[in-house]
Amino acid sequence: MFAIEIENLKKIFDPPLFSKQRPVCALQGINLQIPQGQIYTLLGPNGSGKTTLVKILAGLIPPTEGIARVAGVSVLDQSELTKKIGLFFPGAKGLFDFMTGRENLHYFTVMQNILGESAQKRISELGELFGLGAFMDRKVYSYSDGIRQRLRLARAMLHNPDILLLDEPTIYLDPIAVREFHKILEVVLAKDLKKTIILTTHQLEEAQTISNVLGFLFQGRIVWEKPADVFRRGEANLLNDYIKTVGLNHLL
Amino acid sequence: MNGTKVEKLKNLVSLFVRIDTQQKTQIFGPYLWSLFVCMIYGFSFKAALLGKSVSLGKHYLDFPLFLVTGLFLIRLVLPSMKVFHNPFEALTTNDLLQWILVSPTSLWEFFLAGGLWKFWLAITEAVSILIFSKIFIGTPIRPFLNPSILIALVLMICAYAGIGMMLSASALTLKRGSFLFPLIHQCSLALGGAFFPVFLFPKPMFLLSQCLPMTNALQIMRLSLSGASFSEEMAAIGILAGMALLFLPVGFLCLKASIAWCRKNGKF
Repeated sequence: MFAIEIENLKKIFDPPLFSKQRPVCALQGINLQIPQGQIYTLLGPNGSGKTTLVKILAGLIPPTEGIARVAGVSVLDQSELTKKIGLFFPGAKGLFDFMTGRENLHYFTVMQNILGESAQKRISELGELFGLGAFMDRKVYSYSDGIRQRLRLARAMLHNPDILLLDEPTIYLDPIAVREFHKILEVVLAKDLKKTIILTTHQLEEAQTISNVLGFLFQGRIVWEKPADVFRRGEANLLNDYIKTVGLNHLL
Repeated sequence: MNGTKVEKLKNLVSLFVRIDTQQKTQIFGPYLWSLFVCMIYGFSFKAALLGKSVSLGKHYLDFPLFLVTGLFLIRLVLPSMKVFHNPFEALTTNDLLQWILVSPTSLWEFFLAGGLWKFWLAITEAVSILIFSKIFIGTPIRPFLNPSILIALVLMICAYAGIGMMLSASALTLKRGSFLFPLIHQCSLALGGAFFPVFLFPKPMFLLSQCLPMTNALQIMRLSLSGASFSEEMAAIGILAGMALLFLPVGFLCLKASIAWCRKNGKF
């Protein structure tokens, strides 16, 4: 069974009510199959549809046409889907800065319907797993961006989902924090816990370093899919492929 | 409601308490305002207005009590209207909405938890006005426990909650409309008859004032406090009940539809 199965997925956004704008076709027939335990990275310029695809897989927005299944569950089945996915969205906020890491995770476990002792146990487990031990009882405003990202990742893992959807997770991080974050993704989540990770990024080096497969999304279509090994071994150059696909006119 | 749901609701309410009490001094502001206002009015009444009454048609109400009813009700208007909007704002300000939409907790659970906390605040603020007015102005508290006053309060809260839901729906779908909350609050303040009798208004303004739930709720409260019978309050109760029965379901349907529209079009 595939972790993610997508058939002819289309998404058209209606314009705001009472406006003269035209509907926007964000995805124009996506077909994708991602096996379990893989790190699949979606690349593509801004506005290519990466975040829309992640939002559809998370059940945040319904597709206009086509089928998408996450761990065998249709993206339209919101109540089942919430158990299968862990979501990570970029953003400077997204946490309660005035609370400690532990208190933050406590409120998020409540939202995941995990209550009582099992919640405390899960919070301690994740604190250990993501190396948050010393930070768990400090207020979040004192955290560095790297520690915040780890806390966000711990939050996404609270209900132990099979699939993690990470939208530009390293956007605010310095190179050392990026390296640490990659280690967690590769070693802890993908290798040890066998989680399937869908990642979107604009960092080409990041994409070819940690992924199993790269998919290039452009103008609402997946225009190519390649194993990351091809780029790691130097058989192809990711930047060249990027420019060839998008075209210099688009870049200038 | 089973034990788990109650525990969850308790936790969600405590989350909104934590959000609102980040700066501990913030919470005392409204209570200090109540104290300050009652002290000022206390001095004013002692100087000139003590013992004067306001006409309510067949009945008369002492001016201090007339004013305290206005102060009391006005504290409940904005929280009633924003009962659904406040939790939503708290979530969007903290960038948490998308995360919550993919959790098994529904937005309605958040609205309930946030609303309970906001109402607790509003009601304690309103009660603090009664207590301070008893201390500084000498107004009695016991008559406020009259059933028709409680009916008026519930109906007014329902009517404003309905209006608030319609405004929230407009703010969600049209991405504008948040300014209408303070506008309707200010209209209620100015035209609702909180500080002076509405019959003093010119006719068009008087007619407009009759369309506000607050005017009718105040009418019921003041009639009840002046010793009028239940049958004399029936007309205002009927109008207020009509408003609550109209605004609450319409507001609920509008909000539900706008949430569905936002989800469909990724507008959250």
